[in-house]
Amino acid sequence: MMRQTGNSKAVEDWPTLLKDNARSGGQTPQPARSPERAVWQFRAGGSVRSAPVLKDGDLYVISVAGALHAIDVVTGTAKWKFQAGGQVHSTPSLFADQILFGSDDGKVYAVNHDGTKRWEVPTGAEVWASPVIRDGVVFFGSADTKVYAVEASSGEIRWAHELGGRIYSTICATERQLYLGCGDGKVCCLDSSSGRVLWSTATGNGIDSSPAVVDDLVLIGSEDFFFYAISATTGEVRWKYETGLGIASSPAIWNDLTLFGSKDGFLYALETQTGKLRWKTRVGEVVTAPPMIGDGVVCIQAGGTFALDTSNGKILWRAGLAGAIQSVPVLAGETIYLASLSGEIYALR
Amino acid sequence: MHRRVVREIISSVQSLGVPARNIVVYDRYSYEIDVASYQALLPAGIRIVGIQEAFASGGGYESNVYCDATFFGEWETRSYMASIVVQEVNKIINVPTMKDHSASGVTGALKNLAYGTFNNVARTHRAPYSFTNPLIGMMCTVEPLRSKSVLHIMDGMRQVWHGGPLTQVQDFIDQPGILLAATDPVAMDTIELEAIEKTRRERGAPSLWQHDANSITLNTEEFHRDASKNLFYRQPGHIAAAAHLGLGIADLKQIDHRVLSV
Repeated sequence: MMRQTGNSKAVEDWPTLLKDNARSGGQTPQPARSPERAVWQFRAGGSVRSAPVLKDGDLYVISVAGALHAIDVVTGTAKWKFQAGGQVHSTPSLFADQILFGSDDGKVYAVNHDGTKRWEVPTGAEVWASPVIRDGVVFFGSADTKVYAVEASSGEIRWAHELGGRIYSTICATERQLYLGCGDGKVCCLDSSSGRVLWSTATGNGIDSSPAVVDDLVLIGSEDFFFYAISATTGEVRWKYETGLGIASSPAIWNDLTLFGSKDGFLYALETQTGKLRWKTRVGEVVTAPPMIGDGVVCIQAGGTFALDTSNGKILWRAGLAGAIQSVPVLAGETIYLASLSGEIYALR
Repeated sequence: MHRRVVREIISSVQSLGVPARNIVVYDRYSYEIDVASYQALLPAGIRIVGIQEAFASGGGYESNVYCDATFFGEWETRSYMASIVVQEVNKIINVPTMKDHSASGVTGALKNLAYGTFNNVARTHRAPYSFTNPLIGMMCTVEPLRSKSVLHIMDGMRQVWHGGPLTQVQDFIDQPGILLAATDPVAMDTIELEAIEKTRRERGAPSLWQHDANSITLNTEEFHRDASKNLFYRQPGHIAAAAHLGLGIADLKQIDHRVLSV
């Protein structure tokens, strides 16, 4: 099982999309209760599509208008702001003392923890995917159809490899392989050292969902309405499950379950090894955000924030906050941080 | 509209020699484009633009090109035209879907063009009254929108015959599997109106022209459950009004309508 955890010294850190490179979606012990109050509320000054990330007591949030805010989680006040050159839809990732994210100006930015720019690297089109860092290398795809490997310390490009369509899927990086979906409908496995395509498997339509990899299975949704489990070694489809509409939501993995949303409005829980439906629950008109998993609780933003019992899909509580397209709540201790499409950031407890 | 329809249109435009960098796919709301995953699914190099981020946000509109009208005493009486239409594109291929609309009767080529290009349009309908007639047609006469809109391709693979524009109730969605193409948006919408009326007759639903106070409900759940109920007095007359403004032909007998089976 290729599960990589976040920084073990700071259990509350949440450095990348769905917390870690295994897309575990958190899985920190959380009570299955509704938050009772807003500790603070921060106005980002514009819509927020991406998910917040958290490290060392700072919450990092980027507005679509391109402003990266570092927010003190105790006070809810801004420490600094960095302005990118274009709009931003990419969820930031944290590495060492850098915050990395892509922008619609085609660049990926690395920003220091004091809000100054460390480096930027250009691509040929917008970067909506979240950069993923593994062994000092930053991996990301661009709408210019290329996958890039960049030195995290300098921004120097190690390699760039062209695929067959726009890339909006965030890469899942294991020790030697990169897995991602592509706008041409293919799920691809690349050699992380060279960018060489090791295998690619076609689905019936484009992909903007981001994969998770667990127990030699690549788990990913497609706009062809199916959710796929593909052998990470060979690219062979092990099973697929049909939902009512396209799947842009990225999966989260919990024990033997894979959870994801579909544009048909349901949150699905499938048995990871077999693809058998354990439960599905309607949470909104459309679900495109990834789910986030606590201890026995799965949270998802779909026109509001829902918390469901992971074992049976029963809705435990809902909050009329943070209608989201792709944003994901961050769990830290007893606090939930939410970013909303309207640009409000909430700390709920 | 269906993304495969858009991909085919892009492919056809490119086959005529238009480079990808000169093609823009635009819609009113960024989040709706995002939800439909257009960014990932269209060919590389095509620019995809949401005129405004969300319902209440500002965005890319021209301060000097607007329609000024008041309907319910609203404080903002202007609707501004999108900058991308005024400043950037030189030809528009309009791609509406085939659907009922609770306020305007149908959403077709005219409404897609008008309410997709101007902002501040929801103010024309306040339950149960709707002034989509005549504003839809009036907006379509405003230059440069009128001159740049050269082709209309309606996605009729699915037809929403009640609960539009947003219903997901499958009982109200048919699958006629057709595409309409026209240079005349009024003629296109006249045919669409006839098609949806026909479906409603077959399903026992009242005409889109019905103005019966008993059919009006303020309960959106009831509207989405019962095809005899509506939130507004629908205004399908906006199509004929557009014809009176010189935008096309609304008389079915005069429309050169040809059916091709493939």
